[in-house]
Amino acid sequence: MLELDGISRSFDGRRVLDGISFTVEPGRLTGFVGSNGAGKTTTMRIVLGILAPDAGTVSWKGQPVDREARRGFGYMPEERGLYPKMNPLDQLIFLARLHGVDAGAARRKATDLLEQLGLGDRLTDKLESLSLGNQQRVQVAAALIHEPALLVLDEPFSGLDPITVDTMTTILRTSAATGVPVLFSSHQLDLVERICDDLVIISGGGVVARGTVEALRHERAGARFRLVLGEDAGWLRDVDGIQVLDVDGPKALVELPDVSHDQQLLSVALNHGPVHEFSRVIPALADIYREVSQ
Amino acid sequence: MIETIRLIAAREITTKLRDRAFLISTGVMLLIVVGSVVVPLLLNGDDGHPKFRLAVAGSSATTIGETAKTVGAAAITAADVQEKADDQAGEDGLPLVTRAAETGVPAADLTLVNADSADAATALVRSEDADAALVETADGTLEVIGRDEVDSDLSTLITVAAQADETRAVLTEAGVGDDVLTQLQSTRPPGERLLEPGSPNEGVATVLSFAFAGLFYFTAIVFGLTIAQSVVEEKQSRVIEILVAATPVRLLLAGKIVGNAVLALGQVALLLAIGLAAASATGQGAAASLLLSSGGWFLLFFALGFVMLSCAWAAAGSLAARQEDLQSTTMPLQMALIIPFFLAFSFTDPGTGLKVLSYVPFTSPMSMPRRLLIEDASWWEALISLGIIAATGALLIVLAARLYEGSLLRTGTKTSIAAAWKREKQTSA
Repeated sequence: MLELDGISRSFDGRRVLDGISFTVEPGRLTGFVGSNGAGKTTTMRIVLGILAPDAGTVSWKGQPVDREARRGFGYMPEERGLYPKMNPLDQLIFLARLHGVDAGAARRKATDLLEQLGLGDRLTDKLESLSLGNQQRVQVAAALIHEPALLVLDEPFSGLDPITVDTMTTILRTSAATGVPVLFSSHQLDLVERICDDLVIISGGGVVARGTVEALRHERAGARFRLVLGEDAGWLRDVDGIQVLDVDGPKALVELPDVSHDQQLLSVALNHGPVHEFSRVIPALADIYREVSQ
Repeated sequence: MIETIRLIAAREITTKLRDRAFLISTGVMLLIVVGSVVVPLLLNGDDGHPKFRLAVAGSSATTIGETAKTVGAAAITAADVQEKADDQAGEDGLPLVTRAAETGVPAADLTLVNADSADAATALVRSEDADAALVETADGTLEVIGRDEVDSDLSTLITVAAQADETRAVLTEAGVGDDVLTQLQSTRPPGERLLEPGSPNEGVATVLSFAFAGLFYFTAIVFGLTIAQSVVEEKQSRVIEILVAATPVRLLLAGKIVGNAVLALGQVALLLAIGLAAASATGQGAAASLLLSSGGWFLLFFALGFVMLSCAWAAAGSLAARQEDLQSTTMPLQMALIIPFFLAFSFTDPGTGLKVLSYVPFTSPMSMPRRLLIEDASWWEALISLGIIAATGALLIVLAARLYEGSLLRTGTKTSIAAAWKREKQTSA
C-alpha cells in the first residue's frame, strides 16, 4: 500500500500542495483527478522521488519510501519521451537494468512486452521511426518493464487513439489484478468513472474528495428524484416541502429535504395517478467533480 | 552503484559507436594521422631532387651539359649521404653537432636531349619537351634559352659546369696533371660545429607537441559537445524524468562522463597507435621512439584534463532546454578552451611563459607535454601539474554536479546559472 501523509510543497514561495493525504490500495485502480495546475504531477513526482516534499511523508508498505523501494516503482511521466535514436528493445533493456533487472531477464521481458503490445516486428527499429501511437506503446512498456510493485501513470490516456485506450485499460486492469496498486491521473472523467475502483480529487493543493467511486457518488447524491408519470407532472409544483427542478410533460426532477421523504412523495404521486418510473438520481463523476472543484 | 554507472556509460558508448557521423569522423582523423606521416615521405619520394630536361646543340654545349649532369648527380649522392647520417644521429640520440656544409651545388637530376641545331633546341623548349636549351650562338658564345624563365637550380648547374670546364681547360693548358685536377674537384668544404645546438629532436618534438595540443583541444571540444548534447537529448526528449525516477542524478552524471572519457581516450590512444605504427613502418625511427616515450604522459594529462572539463560540459548541457540553446550555454566553456589553446601555441619556447602555462590547469594538458618533449621539465614537475588538474577537476565536478542537478528537470526553457545554482529541493535521496 502507498500512503501519502500531509504532503506539502511550494515553488518559489507559491504553495502548490498543502497537506495532501491519501492511500493507494494493492490491487485497486486509483484515479487521480484535478484541474490543470491542481498539483497532480507534483504529487506524483514526489511519490517517485523526483521532487522532495517540503513537509509530509510518503510510505510504502508502512515504511518511509527509500531509494531501493522506488527502484521497484513503475512511472509514466506526463511528458512522454524515450531515446529517439535507440530501438525499443535496447531502450527497454537499458531501463529494466537501471531498475536492477539482470540482462537476460530484461531481454526476455522486453521482447515479451513489445510482442504483447503488437510491436514484435519493430523491436530493432529506431524509436523515432515509429508512429506516435506505437511510441506511446513503447512508453507504456517502459513503465512496466521491470514488473513494478507500484504503478504511477501521469495522464496515461492522453493522446491515445481509442484502440490504444482499450489496450491501456486492459494493461492497468491486468496490473491491478496481480495485486499492484495503480495510481493514474486523467482528465477524461467518463473513463475514470468506468475503470477506477478508487478516486482522489484534488483542488487548490488539497484533497477535496476521496473514496470508492460508488461511495462518492452516493455520498454526493443528495435527495434528488426522477419521476415519469401517466400525465403532465406540473401539479408537483403545488406540493409543499419539495423543490421542483424541472418539468417536461410527464417527466419531472425534484429535490427532497431528505432522502427519507421518498416514500411520502411516491404515495402522493400514486394517489394522483399512475407512476411509470421513480428513481433516485445519482450524479455522474463529472457533476461531483464540478461541485467539489469550485 | 558501480553497476549503474557502468550501465549508463555502456549506453553512451554503444550509442556513439553506432553513430555514423562519429565513425566517419574517426576514420577521417585516422586518415589524417596516417597521411601526415606518409605524405611528406611521398612528396620526398624521389628524394626531393628536381629533375630537368636540358636540350643541347653544338659540341661545347654538349660538353658543358654532360658536366652539369655529372655535377648534379654528385650533389645528389652527397645529399643522400648527409641525410642518412642525420637519421642515424637522430636514432642514436646523438646531437647533430657537426654537419657538412652545403657545397652550394644544387642536387638535381639532369637529362640531356641532343638537338640538331639551335633552332631545333629552341623548338623543344617552346613545345615544353625541354625545360631549357643550351646552345652555341653564331659568335661562338653560349646561351641558355628558357620559355618564360630558367629554373635557378638549372641555371646554377650550367654556370658551375661552364666554370669547371673553363678552369679544367685553362689548367690543362698550363700543364696541370689529371690527378691534381681530380684532387681539386674532390676538395671538401669545411664542416660546421654549433656552440649552442637546439634541443635534440627539436623538429620532431615541435611537430609532436603541436599534434598533442591539437588533439587535446579538438577531442575536448568534440567529446565535450557530445556530453552536452547527450544531456540535452535526455532533457529535450523528456526521457530524463524516467531516468531520474530510476537512478540518482549523480550516477547519471558519472556514467555519462565515464562513458565519454573512455570513448575519447580510446580514440586518442587509437590515433597515437596508428601514428606510431605509420611512423615505424615508414622508417621514422626518431619520431616513433619519441612518440612512444612521451605518449604515456600525454594520455595521462589528456585523461585528467578531459574529466576535469567533462563535468562542466555536462552542466552546460543541462542548462540548455533544446539543442539550439547549446551554442550559448557552452560558450564560456568553448572560450575556456580556445584561449588556452592559443596561449599554448604562443608560448612554445622554454621560458617563464611556458613554465607558467604548464601549471595552469586549462593549458597544462597542452603545455606540460610540450616541456616534457623538449626535456625542459622533469617528471616531478609533471606530477605537480597533474595534481593541480586533479584538484581543479574535483572542484569543477562539485560545482558542475550542483548545476546539473539544479537544471536537469527544467525542461521548458533555458536555465540561468543562478537559477540552477539556487537548487530548489530536488530529489530526497
